[in-house]
Amino acid sequence: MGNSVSTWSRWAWLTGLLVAPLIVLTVLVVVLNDISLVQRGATALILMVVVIGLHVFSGNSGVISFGTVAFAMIAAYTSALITIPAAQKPSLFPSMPGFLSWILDFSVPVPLGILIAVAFTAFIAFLVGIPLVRLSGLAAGIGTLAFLVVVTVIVTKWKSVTRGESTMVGVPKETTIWWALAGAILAIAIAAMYQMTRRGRRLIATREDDKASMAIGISIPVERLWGWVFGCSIAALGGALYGHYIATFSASTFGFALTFFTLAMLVIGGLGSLSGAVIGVLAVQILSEFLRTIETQGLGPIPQIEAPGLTEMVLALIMLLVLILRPQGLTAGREVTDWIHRRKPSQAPVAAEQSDVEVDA
Amino acid sequence: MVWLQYVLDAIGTGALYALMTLGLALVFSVMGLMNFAYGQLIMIGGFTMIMLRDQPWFVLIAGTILAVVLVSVLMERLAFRPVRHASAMTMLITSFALAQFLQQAARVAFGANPKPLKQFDGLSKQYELGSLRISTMSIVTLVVTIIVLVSLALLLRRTNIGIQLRASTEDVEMAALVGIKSNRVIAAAFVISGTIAAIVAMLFFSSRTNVSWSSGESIVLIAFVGSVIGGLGSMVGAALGGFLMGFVYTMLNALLPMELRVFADAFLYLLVIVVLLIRPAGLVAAKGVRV
Repeated sequence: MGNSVSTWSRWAWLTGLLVAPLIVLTVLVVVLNDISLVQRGATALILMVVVIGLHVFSGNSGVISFGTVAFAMIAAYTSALITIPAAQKPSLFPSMPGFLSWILDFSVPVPLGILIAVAFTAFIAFLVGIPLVRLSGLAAGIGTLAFLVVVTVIVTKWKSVTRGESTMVGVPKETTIWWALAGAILAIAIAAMYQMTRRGRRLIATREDDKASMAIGISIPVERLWGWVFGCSIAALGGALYGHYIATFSASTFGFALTFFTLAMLVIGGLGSLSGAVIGVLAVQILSEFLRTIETQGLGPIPQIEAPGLTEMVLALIMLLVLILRPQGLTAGREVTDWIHRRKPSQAPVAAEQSDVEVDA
Repeated sequence: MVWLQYVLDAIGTGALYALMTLGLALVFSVMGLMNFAYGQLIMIGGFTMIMLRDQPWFVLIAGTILAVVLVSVLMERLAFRPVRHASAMTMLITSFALAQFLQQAARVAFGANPKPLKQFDGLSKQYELGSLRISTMSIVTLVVTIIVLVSLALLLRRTNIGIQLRASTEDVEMAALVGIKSNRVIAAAFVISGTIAAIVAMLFFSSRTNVSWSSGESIVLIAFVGSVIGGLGSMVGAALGGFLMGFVYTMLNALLPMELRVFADAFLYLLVIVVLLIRPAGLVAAKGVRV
């Protein structure tokens, strides 16, 4: 194993190996200049940000979260509320409650809006996380699921602020495929960094053996809370980017369907590794677009099969097959760098500060 | 008296939810699987009722039970057996994917629009007891729930397979060591779970006007949450948890001020989080269950 590789070099390798194909694919998609292809590429990159957010908590802690998508929703709505041009706001939110009426008076540029939305969501994640991280196993699943339901109900029914079922409209549509790429790169870099720092390693230790990790003085709730806030913030970035990409959305855009979809991507890619999150998104997204093409227009020799739900049905079937045949996911929880470092450990620079971080992939 | 009326209505809903939760909890306690596809069994039961709508009532009942049990057993054999030894998360996601598959298959097969159900006029008849109203449907639901609970208790305590089931619930590996065949026990759990799902489907859809491909979603959520707050691995806990979900939800809808009533779901799930924080293992914690 590559025990002599420094943390920085590992970080650079992992980030580089995961980011490089994304850059190549994005450039390829942009050069091909096919509108629907660009759209699909951008969607995949944005979804990747959300899935990486899910991985940062669930992948590293081993605790399932059905609630992460709720933070993508909170961020999308927050950013929308503060970036919609002030001139349009009174007609969009005629009955904004008094204590929030200050929102109507201003609007900020989209990048700032996304930044504020992520910061605000991180704060909410912190508050909600304090009780939620104390749960584990299925109780954590239910707790986070309950939180998703609560947020969904509030967003759907609090019409004066969220416009309820009549969808959020007028959101500045500024996210491009390049923004999406930047978001994905940032998410990968942060997630890779996190799982190589002491904080991240401690969280991974609690996943591997909770009793042993407690015995060496790791506080499980504290480490989980860090992972939770980091993960939810990354998902928030994805959500805000998505909001500014599709420009019109409602609570159902971020509901159970997206939760299922992102979790499935994570598990199919291989739970527990960042590479799994990235590969899972690419695999599922390419497959689902392939199926959707057949459903809407046919593909080469395959005729068009018009049946609403067919894409989703076949996709679910293929997910089932992957889960049954390869329950560990495509990467089996390994990182792409595991293969490289194993092959040529001596070529990598030797670290002087080995005692700083235990590297034992 | 209006209070008593609310309580009466809430008990009816609670009884149905208790049954619902029991079917899900039974499978969980035997193999540690939270079966998200359970709600789709109830949806399939609804569509079977539509297909058998012109048959005599006993054919309708027997046919629905048979169809749902068949799907339930197939589900176990084809999807869950291969992942039985994988992590709990993988099993959960497998059932998620299976639920999605069945739901979308129903959408392809029956179309995206809800399909109308036959209305049973006899069931909506209301009886007056002083100022209290009670419908035939609530009485039927209550009676059926009690019958199912009693037969389940008898089955689990008196029959051979029931005792094996309970032994596997306690410790599946130990049970296997003393010669209990896991495959048989788990298949039995899915047969019972399927039967309960079919009964729930019939009770649930008798008071509704249509079935759609998405009908199963909200049902499984309630059962899922009910079984966890009740206490995983405990049948009594599951029934209690499911009952409380139905009871509290009906009461919230009746008692919350008008402008907050639309948020009833949010209040219910906030309560769920609170219960989980106070008692992470559920209200009735089973011994030796890891949560």
